Amino acid sequence: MSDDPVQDLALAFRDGDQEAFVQLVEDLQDRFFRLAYRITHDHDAALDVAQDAFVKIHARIDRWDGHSRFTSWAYRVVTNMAIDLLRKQKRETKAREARALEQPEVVEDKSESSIVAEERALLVNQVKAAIEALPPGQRAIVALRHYEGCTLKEIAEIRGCALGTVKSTLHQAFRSLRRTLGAEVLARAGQVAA
Amino acid sequence: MIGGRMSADRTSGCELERLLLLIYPDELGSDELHELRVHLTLCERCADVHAELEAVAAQLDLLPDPQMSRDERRELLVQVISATEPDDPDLRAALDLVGVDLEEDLRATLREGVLARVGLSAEDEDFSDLEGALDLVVAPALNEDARAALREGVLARVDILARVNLASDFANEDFSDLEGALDLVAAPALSEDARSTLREGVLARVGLAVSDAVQDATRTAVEPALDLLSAPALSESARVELQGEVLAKTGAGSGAGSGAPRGGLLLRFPGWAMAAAAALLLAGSAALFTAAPWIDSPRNTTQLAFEEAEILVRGSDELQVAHLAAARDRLQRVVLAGSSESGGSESGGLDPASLKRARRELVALDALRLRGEPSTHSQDIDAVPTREDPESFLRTKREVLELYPESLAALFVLTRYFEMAALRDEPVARRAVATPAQVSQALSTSLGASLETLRERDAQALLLKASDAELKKRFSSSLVRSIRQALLIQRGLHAERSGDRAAALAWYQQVDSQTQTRAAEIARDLLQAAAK
Repeated sequence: MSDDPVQDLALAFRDGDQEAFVQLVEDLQDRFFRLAYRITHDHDAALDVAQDAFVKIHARIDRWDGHSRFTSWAYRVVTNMAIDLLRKQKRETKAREARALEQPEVVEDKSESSIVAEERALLVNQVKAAIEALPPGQRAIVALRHYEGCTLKEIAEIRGCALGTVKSTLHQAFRSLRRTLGAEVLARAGQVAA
Repeated sequence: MIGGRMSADRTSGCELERLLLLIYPDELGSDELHELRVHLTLCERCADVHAELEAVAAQLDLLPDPQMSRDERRELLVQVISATEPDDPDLRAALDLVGVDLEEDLRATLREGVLARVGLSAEDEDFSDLEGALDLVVAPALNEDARAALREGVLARVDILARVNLASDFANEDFSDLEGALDLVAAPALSEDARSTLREGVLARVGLAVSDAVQDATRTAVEPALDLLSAPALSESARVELQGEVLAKTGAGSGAGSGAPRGGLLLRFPGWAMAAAAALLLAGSAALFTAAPWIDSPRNTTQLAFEEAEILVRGSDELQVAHLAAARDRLQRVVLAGSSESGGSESGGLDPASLKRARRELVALDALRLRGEPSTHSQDIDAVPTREDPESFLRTKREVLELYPESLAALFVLTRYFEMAALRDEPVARRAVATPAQVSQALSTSLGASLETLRERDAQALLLKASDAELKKRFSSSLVRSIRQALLIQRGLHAERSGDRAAALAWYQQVDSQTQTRAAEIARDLLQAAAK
């Protein structure tokens, strides 16, 4: 028994306990979906990735050594599947970027709150577009570090690369985001957040 | 300068990476964190870069947190489990086969109905899927292969969903109506018998809702029955008759549950005799469950509850529905206990295999109950055991053994088979139960080696029953006597039905010769009745 209930469930499942697998799905499906969504930015695609990832994990559980963290191994499956999906849908993604950058029509006589809401929506779209412009690998690392709270060391394990590579990739991602969003947007974000 | 790497007038890529870590302080040690923060107060350029990085991070925080809906969570769980279940190919094949001989819209109705059913929660009780399945009764018959595949696939699905529901705290979901409806899908062209069974099943469903005294639920429950009125396969008179009965059932002040028996459960034996035997079993097993001093762990409790359920289920097509329900409730209790303890420690939790068996049993028990009715059905006439041919009995119950090889129902079938074989081969000796050797021989010749696990388990179970010494070691003598007497009465009834009156009398006399108990009184009454 470890301190990590997910790890215990995974070990039980690896030993043949199907009920443990059901429990794992229950416990991890939100995290899988969230991670897949952060990479794909597509609700339905994220659901598909989460589902397919569980099926893949079920089929390949014997490839997990049982010593490393199960969640790292599982996140690697989810991340790789989401990245693969992104690459396959490259053209569609570009179309979505274009849609996301479309600005809403200006409507007069709006209340102050609706203007703030619109401003916020516009910013969200711009941030989404900026993230979608990142290469899949950078997007995955931003998702794992910024949204899932994985440490850089864990990300290195998940992505199967060196710690230094993760650091530089995250740095490149931030630099790209800063460049794409521009000073004006960053300043406006500060105002909206305030 | 920090550690010789950070300067006020130059911010390299490497240093940017370090500044970025300030956004995620858990990546830095406290000293390093402090050092960097101090540097920011001294270096304007780095402070600007850091401010920009923080602004990017703040932008990332603007994105909403993606959420799965409750339905999506449930659907994902169902899809994953069904995709990873060994039976899944059968299910998919079955669902694909639904369309073999059906119109497009009917095919869609069944598919949607079945899928909707398996996606329903107990809270969202809805009978529209049953309605859809019932509508299919009037459709052209499925061919034999498609019918079998559909049935097995859907039952497998039901089993999967039972597990899913348990995992989602919907343990009380009852699929018996779905199974009943699916049975009827196989009816070649809605024969008179099938129509009768359908009618009984629908009325049972109505009775269920009426007894719950929930008007809305009653109204909903009646809808499938009312829809049947327009089914072209019913004759005008049958339609009028059904309409009358449905209206009578659902009228104001309908006398909840006081009318005809639910579910068309037809007893083969005199009600008073079986009720008495079952009551003894029930009392004995209840005492067994609650009073046994050697119960020292949840696992033992589970096993014990199984034994109790077994006793109740032994005569599942003979005992009253109340006793079947008692067995079902017992299994539900075991399963619920298992579910609530599933997150507990390994040593205190239930045996996963037993828990799985209990879950399967909940489905199997209802399936057997529905499959066993009514007694006038031709299949059941064939299934009545005879002294001369226990193998034919076993063949008629082969489906039970194959569909639910680990179920108590299977154990019941096998036990009965051995009793029949014993009656045929050794009518004088009237051995109490089959020997392990007989178990082994019969199973190996009748069912092959594929049921190895079942054979081993049942051999042990039968051996346990065969040994009075073992029984006495584990249970109190009064409890052993109660169970034995009840079983003796049951054997007598069985022998009587098999046409062996002498054997039946002998069984009854064994009970009568024992102490003055309620069972002995029953045995005397049975002796008198048999003598006539």
